[in-house]
Amino acid sequence: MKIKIAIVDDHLLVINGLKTMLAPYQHIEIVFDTQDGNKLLDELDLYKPDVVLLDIQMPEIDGMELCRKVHKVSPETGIIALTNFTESHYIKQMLRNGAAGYLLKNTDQPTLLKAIETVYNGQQYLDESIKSSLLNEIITGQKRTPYEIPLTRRESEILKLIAEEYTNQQIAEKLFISLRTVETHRLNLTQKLAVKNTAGLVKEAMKRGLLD
Amino acid sequence: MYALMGLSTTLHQMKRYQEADDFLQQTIALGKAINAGYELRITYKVAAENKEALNQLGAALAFRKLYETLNDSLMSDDTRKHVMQQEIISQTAIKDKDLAEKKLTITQKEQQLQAKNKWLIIIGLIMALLFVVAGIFFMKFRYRQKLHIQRLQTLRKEKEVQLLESFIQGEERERTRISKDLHDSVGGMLSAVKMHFSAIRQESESLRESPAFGHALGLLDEAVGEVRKTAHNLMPEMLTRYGLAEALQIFCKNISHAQTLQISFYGTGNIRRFKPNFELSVYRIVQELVNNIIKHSRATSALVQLSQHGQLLTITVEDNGVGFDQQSTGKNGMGLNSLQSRIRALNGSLEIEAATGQGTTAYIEFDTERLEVEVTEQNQLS
Repeated sequence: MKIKIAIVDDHLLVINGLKTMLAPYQHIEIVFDTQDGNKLLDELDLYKPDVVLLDIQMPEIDGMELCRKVHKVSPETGIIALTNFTESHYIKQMLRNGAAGYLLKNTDQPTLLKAIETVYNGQQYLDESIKSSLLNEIITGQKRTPYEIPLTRRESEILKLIAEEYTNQQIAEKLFISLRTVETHRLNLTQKLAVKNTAGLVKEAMKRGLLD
Repeated sequence: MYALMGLSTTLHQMKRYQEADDFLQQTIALGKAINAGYELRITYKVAAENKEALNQLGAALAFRKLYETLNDSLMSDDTRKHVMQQEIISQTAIKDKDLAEKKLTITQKEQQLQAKNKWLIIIGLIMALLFVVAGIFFMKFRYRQKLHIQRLQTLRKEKEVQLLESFIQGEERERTRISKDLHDSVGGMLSAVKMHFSAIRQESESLRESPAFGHALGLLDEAVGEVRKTAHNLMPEMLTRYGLAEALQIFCKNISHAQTLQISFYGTGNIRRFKPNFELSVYRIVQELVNNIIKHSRATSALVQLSQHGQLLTITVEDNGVGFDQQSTGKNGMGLNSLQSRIRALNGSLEIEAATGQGTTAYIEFDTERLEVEVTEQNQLS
């Protein structure tokens, strides 16, 4: 039984490149390719591809949108995103929209083959560089403790003044800025330092040694 | 005198003539002494009659004569006095008349004067009224002129802003076109080339082992990456898809160099989506500020902070670099001026705080009223 592949990419060159890469493998058959994503939706029933190689950035229909629609119409079809985007936002979005795999376009033949086979077997496949990128984000994306978040100079200044019992109005007058600006800085401070009120702010100011 | 007169007269009437004569003599002497004409006259008369009664006719006659002489002189005196009095009276009358006439003329004159004054006041009032009306018209005119000038200025400013906006838009359009071209033609082609080479490599045992071929493939990968990065810089697709916060975060991450410059990004508050043009402009502004840091500041760490509370979007870009002297703005100042006008064109304000050796802080505020757009379903999912 051959694995039926559909390719959607707005570049004909890429389609041909993929065809060339997949040509040596006898168990893989490219049943459909198109530069217009909407056509895939129309022809989905006719060709019933097992795996769709899907570009994200296309002029007619957005790859993410297409992914969601294909997954909704035919959940058993495995979708592999094939793109140049490395940002985790795209990866997460595609996976949420039903994609089972995520590959970069500069992938090599073995990786492509492995991805297709994995997804065909109902599992998920992520490019190695994508995996590390996601992992990296999980590590760095951790909620930082308030200590690690640097304050801007203006924020430090305002925090100090708050600790010295200045009112917003007084701070505005002292620093020659508008009351609204002071209020914004204050809100930012409260959020950045994850405190609830002025008492929390003063505590932070003390911790940071702003009060000599 | 009168006592003597009375006594002598009484004595005469009581017919005690001899005694009366004595007193009359005394009275006459006294009257002569004090020159009392009228009394003397009466006394003479009484004396004459008394002498007559005493039968001294000669003396009586003498007194009679004296009486008459005195009477005459007194009469003329009286007449004179009377005439004088009359004269005085008439003169007074004339004077009074004159006075009255004068008074009349004065009153007339006064009346005339009053009339004149009345007219003067009326004319004055009219003049004042005219002045006021003229003043009002003048003020109105001035006000209109001022308004006109103001309107002209606003128009000119709007025109400038429009010009700037269209200039920026044109620039952005061109960038988008180049970005698309890069992505569509070069990017796709390079990817395809890579795929073909990759396929070829699998076919040939020798190529699979060749380090040179592997290196060439690696370079191709890099080329693909570079094209993508360039295209992204020209037109960040992250921005249109996910908005400012995500796009700027990615930008900071991409531009950071582990060794030289670490750029952190913080987004606080509820950062919403805005009109594409506005988002792109803000993105470019931050891009330029960060590029300035890379080029001039020699900083080791920088901070890009984006926050939105209510309808106030604020951006802080701060570094720990060498800063610059705000007074001596050279070429750097030119760049800041262009930033300033771009931000003002977006109804925002830029505040730069810098001092030599103390780093630089750029603080930007935008009022985002009328700039926000509804979030689409797709974006909400992210």
